[in-house]
Amino acid sequence: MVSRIECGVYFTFFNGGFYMSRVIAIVEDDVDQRDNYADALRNQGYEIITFGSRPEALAHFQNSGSQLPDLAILDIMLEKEMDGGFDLCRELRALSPNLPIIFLTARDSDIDRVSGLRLDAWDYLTKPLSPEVLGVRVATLFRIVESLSKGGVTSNPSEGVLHRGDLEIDPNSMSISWKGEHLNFTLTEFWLVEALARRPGMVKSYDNLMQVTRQTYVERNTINGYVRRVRRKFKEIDPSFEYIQTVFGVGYRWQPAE
Amino acid sequence: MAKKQKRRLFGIQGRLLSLVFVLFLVPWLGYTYVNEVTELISDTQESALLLNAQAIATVLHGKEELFSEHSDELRALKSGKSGYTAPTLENDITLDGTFDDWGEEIELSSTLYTGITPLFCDLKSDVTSLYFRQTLGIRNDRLFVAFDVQDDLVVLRDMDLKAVNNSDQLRFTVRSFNGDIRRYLLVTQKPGSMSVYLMEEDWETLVTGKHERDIQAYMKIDQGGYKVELRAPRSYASASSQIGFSIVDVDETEGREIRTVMTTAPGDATEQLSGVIQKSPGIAKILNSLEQPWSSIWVVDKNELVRAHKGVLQHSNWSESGSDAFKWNNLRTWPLLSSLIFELEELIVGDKTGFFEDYPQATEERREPIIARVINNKTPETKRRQSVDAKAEVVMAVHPVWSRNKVIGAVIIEQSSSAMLANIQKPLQTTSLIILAVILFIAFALLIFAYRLTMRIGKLRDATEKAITPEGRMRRQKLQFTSNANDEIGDLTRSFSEMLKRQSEYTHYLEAMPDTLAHEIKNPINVINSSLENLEKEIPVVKQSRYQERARNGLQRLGSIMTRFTEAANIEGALNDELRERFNLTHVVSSFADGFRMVHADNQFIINIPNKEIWIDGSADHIGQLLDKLGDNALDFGDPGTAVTIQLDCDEEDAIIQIWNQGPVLPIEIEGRLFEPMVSYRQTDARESHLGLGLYIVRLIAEFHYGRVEAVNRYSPDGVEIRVIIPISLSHTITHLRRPRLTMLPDDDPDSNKRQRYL
Repeated sequence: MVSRIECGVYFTFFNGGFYMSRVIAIVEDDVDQRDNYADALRNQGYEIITFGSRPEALAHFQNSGSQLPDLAILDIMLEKEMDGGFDLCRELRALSPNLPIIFLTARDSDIDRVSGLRLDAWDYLTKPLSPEVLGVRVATLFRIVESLSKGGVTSNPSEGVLHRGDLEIDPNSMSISWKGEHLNFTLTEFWLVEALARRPGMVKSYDNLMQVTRQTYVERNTINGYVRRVRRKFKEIDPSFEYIQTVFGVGYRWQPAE
Repeated sequence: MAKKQKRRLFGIQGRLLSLVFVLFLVPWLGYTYVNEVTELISDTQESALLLNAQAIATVLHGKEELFSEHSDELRALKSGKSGYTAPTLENDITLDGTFDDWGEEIELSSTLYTGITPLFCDLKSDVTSLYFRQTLGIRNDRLFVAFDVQDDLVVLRDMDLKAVNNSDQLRFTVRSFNGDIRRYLLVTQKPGSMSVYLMEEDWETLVTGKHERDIQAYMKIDQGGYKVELRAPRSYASASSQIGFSIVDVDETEGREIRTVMTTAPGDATEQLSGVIQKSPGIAKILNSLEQPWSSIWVVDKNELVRAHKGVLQHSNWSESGSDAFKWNNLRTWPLLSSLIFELEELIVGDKTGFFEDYPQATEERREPIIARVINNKTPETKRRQSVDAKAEVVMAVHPVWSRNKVIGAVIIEQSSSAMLANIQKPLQTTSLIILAVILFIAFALLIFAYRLTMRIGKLRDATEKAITPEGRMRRQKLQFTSNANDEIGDLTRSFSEMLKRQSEYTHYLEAMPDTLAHEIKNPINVINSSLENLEKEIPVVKQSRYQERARNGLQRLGSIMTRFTEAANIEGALNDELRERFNLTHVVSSFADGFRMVHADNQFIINIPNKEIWIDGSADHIGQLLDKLGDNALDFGDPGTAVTIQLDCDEEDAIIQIWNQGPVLPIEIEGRLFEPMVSYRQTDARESHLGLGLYIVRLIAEFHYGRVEAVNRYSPDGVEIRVIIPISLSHTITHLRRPRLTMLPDDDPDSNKRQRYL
């Protein structure tokens, strides 16, 4: 992990060849948390702009003079607006359909999670979340962005690619394909599939999987929800997909090859 | 929660009904009232009768001549009071053996002779077989006598026999003013005019043997006897002469011996001859002008001899006409009810309106002492007496008639109270019926009211009980029904509903509390967490500080408390949203057992799972969660080095999951409360937080599967067994299980051949 953070992109080629630090917008009404995350991310070399409310952030982004950030990290409850983050997400989507957005919130119900992901958020993270972990995610995200901008070609294509039967996991581009078809996973989902598939047949307990999500506190039901969504995405491509097995009460495992 | 009350014996319905019984005092009051009214009516009747008597007496006042009509005859009556009385007949009498032309006198003035005092009686004779009625009347200087003789065998004269006195005969004796006695014998050989012979004293020897022409008689045989009409000159019944009649009975046609001779002398039986007093036609004329229905008026002279008489207490068709009074037309449609009321009334009040029997005799024969008293005391008097059969009450008023400071006679009016009572009978019945109907209506209304009240209270009770589970959790936010009733129960219902609403809001607030709390705590935790991390970055040496480590431990504990809180709080909602699926419990339990054993490789497990499918309805994931909680619980409490047993079994109805560990048994004080939230019996490291929510979650999941969970202490070796009993899916099938292939450590316990091994 640490190595990935260290190789986080300070200056990279982006947007038609300008070298500049990546700009991350943090919209969070709690000033302590906002500043802590901002400090941590600044230490990693990102340029951080912070906002305490949705109108404030929106006013800034809609200003024709200002540029959109490279990544937006949004809290959902903003001051008195219960769903301020969701609304802002929608408004940002209207400004840029491709802007990577991460929700970082204390709300961890399935409904909120699903709502967030439906708005095409790249990830949905629940507090408390370590700034270090956030840094890792941000770095990973930018790597994927970079990879996508290069047409999906990674710098080192064959390195570390994991093959499990029809499953192919590319840790560099953080992409997963099944029977040659690309699957669209969030970061957390990617890590869950990677953790299960890395050791087929071995049971990954809920505690293991919680660590895999790289979030501090994750409930068992949240894990189940993640697995359900992962299965559904596999089954959309392959209705007979049954490789992720439930070990009831304990966790999950990837079915070993026959 | 209150237990369902048993049906009370003396609930609201019973109490209201007993109240209804108080209403039955009303008819009793009515009965008392009616009695008083009856009494009052009788009193009034008495006064009215006395007034009537006084009025008649006033009319007769001073008219001594009316009382002295035929006074010579009266004076001649030596016995003073005794004598035949003969009314003046209104019609001419035809001698034909029928009494139609006699008018009402045949009833009023007749005298019944029942053979109690016959003059002569043969030992063999049965005197009761002979009785007769005799009536005297005077019309146009002729004396008429009617005999209605009841005789079981009428023996007529046999012309072949010489003797005239060997058949049923009528003897007529006349003593003229000079003491001459003439004896007439009346016989006949066939019904029709009778032969009249003058006889010697022995009644056997004929004097002349000729038919006597001054007396005519006619006999007619009818059922049970015969009737005779006799006509004699008025002089035979004058004041100076005396007469006597005898009915002679012969009861066999062969021997023709005289069985009975019955004399008709009034008063004393030994006195064979008696004078005849003609009732006063003057007084009768006065009386005839009076209209006094249902009453009998007598006028007597100072010797208590009847001088005139009018009216009867009741007509013979009384019972029919009288009954009309209490036939209540309105009730013809309700014959049962009306007859019931009539019976009831008769039972309570008694029937005083119907037909009754009274004295057939004239007043002088009854020898009412009141008449003598009035004549002697010269003051009017009233009297009430029962009719002979005691069915009716007869009111009698006697008023003296004055002439020159002397009492010359008395007016007697008799009237039964029946007519009056019959008049009040109808209102009485109407009132009784109305009262009864009102009482029934009130009783019915009260019953309905009580029933409705009980129903409403019962409904409220049921709804209240249903709103809260036996564990005290809110099931509903308000009562199942609303009430718009503008009364106390309606108020109560609305208050209950409002109370439930407030309570459920509060409960909702409490239930949402862990979630809200967790949400609110996450933000400060996040601040602390990120601050600690940034601190480490800023001052790297902090990372080595033990305080930093403790701070992180604390945060970790806080986080785990939060997670458990929200897990328990969310589980109910999650279960509510969960779709029920039919799944194989054997597969879930064996999957769990294998995985659990794999994760807790340091612990020993004994696993007994049958080789058959057990299907239940519910959520496999949640059963997995339940098993994990029980597994963790067993590991936490199991003595180190001992095995945890995971066992699945089923009978025809239920699947039974048993997980038990060796170790300390459950303390008694916690028994029964183990599966309630926030109940824990752990006594372990204080740095670990135990909220007692694990087994609560187990219970919620078991209940979601329509099952139950129980904890049982086990002894030698000591331990605790948690047993989850879940009903099997109704459409379950038992087939052999295709075992899942799992990689796991082989079990090395050689004892247990039941143990499932998965490779």
